[in-house]
Amino acid sequence: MHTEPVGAAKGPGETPHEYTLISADPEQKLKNGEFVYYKAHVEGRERRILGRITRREPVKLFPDSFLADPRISPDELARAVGYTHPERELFQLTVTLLGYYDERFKAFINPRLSPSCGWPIYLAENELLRDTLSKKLPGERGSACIGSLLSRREGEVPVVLDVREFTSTHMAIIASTGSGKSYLAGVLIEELMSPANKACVLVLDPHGEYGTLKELPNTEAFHERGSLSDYRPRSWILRPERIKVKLSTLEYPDLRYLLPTMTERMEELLSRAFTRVQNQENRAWSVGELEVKIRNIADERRDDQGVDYSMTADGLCRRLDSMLGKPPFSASEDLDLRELLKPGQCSVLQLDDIDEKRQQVITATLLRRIYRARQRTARGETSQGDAEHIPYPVFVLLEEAHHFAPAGGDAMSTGILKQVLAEGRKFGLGVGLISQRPGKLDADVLSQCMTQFIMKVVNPIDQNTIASAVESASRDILDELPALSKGQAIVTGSSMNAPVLCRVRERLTEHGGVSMDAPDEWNRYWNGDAIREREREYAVLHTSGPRGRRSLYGSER
Amino acid sequence: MTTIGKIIKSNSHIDYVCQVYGPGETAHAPVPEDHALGTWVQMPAGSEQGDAAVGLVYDTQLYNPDYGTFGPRLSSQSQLEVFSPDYLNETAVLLGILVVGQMRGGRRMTSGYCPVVAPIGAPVTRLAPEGVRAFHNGAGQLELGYYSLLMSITDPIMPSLLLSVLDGLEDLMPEQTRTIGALRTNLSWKTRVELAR
Repeated sequence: MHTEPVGAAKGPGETPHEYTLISADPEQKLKNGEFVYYKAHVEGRERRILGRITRREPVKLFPDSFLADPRISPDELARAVGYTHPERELFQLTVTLLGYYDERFKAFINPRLSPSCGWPIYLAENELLRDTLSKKLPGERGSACIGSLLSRREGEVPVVLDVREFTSTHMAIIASTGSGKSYLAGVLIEELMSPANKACVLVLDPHGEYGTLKELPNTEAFHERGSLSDYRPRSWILRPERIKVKLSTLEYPDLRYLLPTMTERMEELLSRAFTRVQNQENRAWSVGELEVKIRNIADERRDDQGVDYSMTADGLCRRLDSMLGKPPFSASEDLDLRELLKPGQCSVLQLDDIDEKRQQVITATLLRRIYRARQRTARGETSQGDAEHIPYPVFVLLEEAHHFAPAGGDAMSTGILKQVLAEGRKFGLGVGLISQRPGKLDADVLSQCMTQFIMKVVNPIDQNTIASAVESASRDILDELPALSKGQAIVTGSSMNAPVLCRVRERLTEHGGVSMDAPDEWNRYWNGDAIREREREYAVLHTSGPRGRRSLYGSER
Repeated sequence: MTTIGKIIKSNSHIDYVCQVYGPGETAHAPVPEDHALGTWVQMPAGSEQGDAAVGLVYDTQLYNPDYGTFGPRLSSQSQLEVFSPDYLNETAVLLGILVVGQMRGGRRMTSGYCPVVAPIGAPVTRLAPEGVRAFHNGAGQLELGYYSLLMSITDPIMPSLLLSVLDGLEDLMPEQTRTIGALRTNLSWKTRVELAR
């Protein structure tokens, strides 16, 4: 098909990888973020040099005075004074060069060649963008189709991620609240659980938003018909009461973190007692056992040094009781990694009834266990049947990541998270971080995520954090951040060949992260059924007479 | 249609000089209002019947060769009327006409210029209101193709002339009041306010 040019090159831009073009653009095709190309001969072959429009400036417009009366169009005035040409405006567009797509390297190569003045510029065809922007084709093994290119009609140019990349080199979803980050995460999980991937996914869900993933097995789109396995994804939603942390998986720094502001004596007692419970034959110690050890050490001190440690021991034991003596901590029970992590299964740990500190402990201990298990499995130190034998890669999605790796760095989960982000790739442990406050997220943690999904962010501190942490996105594409609408995302990093503005596709399972409708809830309080129910609840057996509630207080509603 | 005068020369392809008929030169001598500044006129231009150049009176000059001969005369005024009547007729009213378009058979062909020249001696007649209206009507839209031409002439009278043209058109084309109003506002601002800075 012969394509008409949409503009003519004017010359080089301000930077070496920019050029400018002039176009009347009467149909307004050349939007910011749109892809255009020019043809050039590189090493004896005609190449289509792709670029993205980053700025649009007018070079010819109607005079302001033509716009004084909104009832008269400037066209009409122009025609009246003898200007009858259809071209009414002229724009200069700045294009940032991506380069030509090299099939050998599967990447864009910048030819370092600006178009000469007057060279025709073409709007990139859908086929060209489909074949070059994404690393995978929809439905291909290891692909995740999360939506389509924003500048084209829905579905015309699918945005397909390379799952292998972001499950090994990690990813981050950054967006302000209400811009659709949980929705996008849901779409990603759906794609991971599709027959093309059959991923092993663990979601740590502090707000209980991912409960709707229980529909996964019943969603026909994920059913691989006709295959030997007759694959359907499985989902396992764990409510907070079912989440257990075995005390023996805690390390001494974890205890120090859980029991802040301990005195020196307390620390000394705890440190020694912890070493003893760790060294005992049965490593599955309980709080009671730890307390016995603490009191033993206190007694020994009294006998050896004549110093009374009993008050310190009492205080320490009380604090241990209040912190470790209740769920999720348990002496014997733990989450079974072999049950929790299976290919084709999405396990969701709902942490919504658990305080932030305990959430951090659960996350840290779980990540540590998974990392260790993957490490040992990869090194051949475990075999089939071992509790720590996980012979497949694992992808962990962490909601509200700024709680688990805050910028201050005082959360106990920060350390293991950094370790996983730095070395998880070697052992097949990928992490996806979701945060609405990148400014509050540890900068190292964010910069270790090689694929980024950035949605609407208005806060300037957050914008600057993104700009400094996200190497792959240029400043011009980040300028789009405040202008993005709900369900639109910048996708950049190693899972794509070039940064793109994406319209996120519709979820196949129901979205669970909707905001509460407060006026609706308030009105429900005052509907007839609710009023009658409250009357029944407040009523006592003898509603009349001297002992009746109504006789004392009147009718309560 | 009142015939005002005849073309006696041109200064350029668009700038013609018309001598206004004096008493006795035509059956119906024009009155001053017939050739007032801003009057729309037409004159035959082209080989076909009805082809005409359309113009606008943009200047008026009084021609008087006697001016400057203050010396004593041998003949008195009454004697001159008898012995040398040609002398008396040499005073004249000359009109500057800017040709801004062409009409054929009552329909506007071009707006802004007339490609065909009007000959010497071509009678200049006043354009009737219907003709002015037809000249400015381009398929239902107001057409002032000469606007930029008038604006480009560096004559202090030109903006006022254009404003009076717009006023006249507003009366003739009430359906174009908004467009004409917008143009007049722009022009007034440009020529009255901006120049007063």
